[in-house]
Amino acid sequence: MFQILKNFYHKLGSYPWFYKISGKVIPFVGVFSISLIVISSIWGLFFSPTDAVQGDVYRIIYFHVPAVSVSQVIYYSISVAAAVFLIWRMKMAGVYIKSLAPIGAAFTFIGLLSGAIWGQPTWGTWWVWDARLTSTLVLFLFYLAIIGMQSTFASRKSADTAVSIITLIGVVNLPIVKKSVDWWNTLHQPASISISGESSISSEMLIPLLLSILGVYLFVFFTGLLFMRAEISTREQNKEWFKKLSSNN
Amino acid sequence: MDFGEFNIHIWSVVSIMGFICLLLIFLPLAKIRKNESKIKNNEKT
Repeated sequence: MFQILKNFYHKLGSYPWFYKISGKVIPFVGVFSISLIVISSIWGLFFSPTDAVQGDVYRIIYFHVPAVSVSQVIYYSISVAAAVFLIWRMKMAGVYIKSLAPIGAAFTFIGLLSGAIWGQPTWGTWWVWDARLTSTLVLFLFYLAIIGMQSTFASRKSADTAVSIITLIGVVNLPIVKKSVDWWNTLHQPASISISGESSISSEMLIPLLLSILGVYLFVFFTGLLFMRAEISTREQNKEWFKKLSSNN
Repeated sequence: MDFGEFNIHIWSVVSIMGFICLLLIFLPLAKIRKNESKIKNNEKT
């Protein structure tokens, strides 16, 4: 088992291998993830029951929760990639960070904006400087810093190193985002879904929510592969394997 | 929510998310096509 994982890890570092395999996987993941998002959205918007307190506006949950959840998971994953890059100098880790950062930023932005649009009718305000909202804004700023730093270095290796360091510094913020609703008295409610304990949301609302979370996670996998292929095609456009592959397509 | 019922808050979130998701699909695709076609054009010339 360890040998299989070790072989997979070594193969993962090869641009040609990744480019070939990802090209085969992308169409299936793309169709599946988009179908799942469409089905869960229709289910959540039209077939799940109306909330007794908030009315229909609570249905924003089917977009807000998956977006915020995936934005944190993406940051955890790029932090692991940053550590891998700094320790083993694996080039693919640099590609991964550069590719996933814009996706993470996009979903954090969706989370912040959908939260503001949800907050206006329910809290009576678009924004409050409470711990959850502020720490999520800080997460968004870290993503922007990672994206911005890519173009400030002439050498790709220096850019990947600097980006890895800033990514690891940003990890400190993630437990704060997660635990802010427990540590401080916030306007934002505590988590409704729990993996270990009981969820405080009815199953009729929970099932489409879990489906939409799964759909968004798969969508991130799909777009992550697309962004990584795009980055590899930029880095490797002068290499023989890429020229051969492009002329055959 | 009934079909045809319009809630500005919900539909603005749906349209923003839809637009961003489309961008996330088409931006990398355009970059890949551009890089691959660059190679093909170089071969022709």
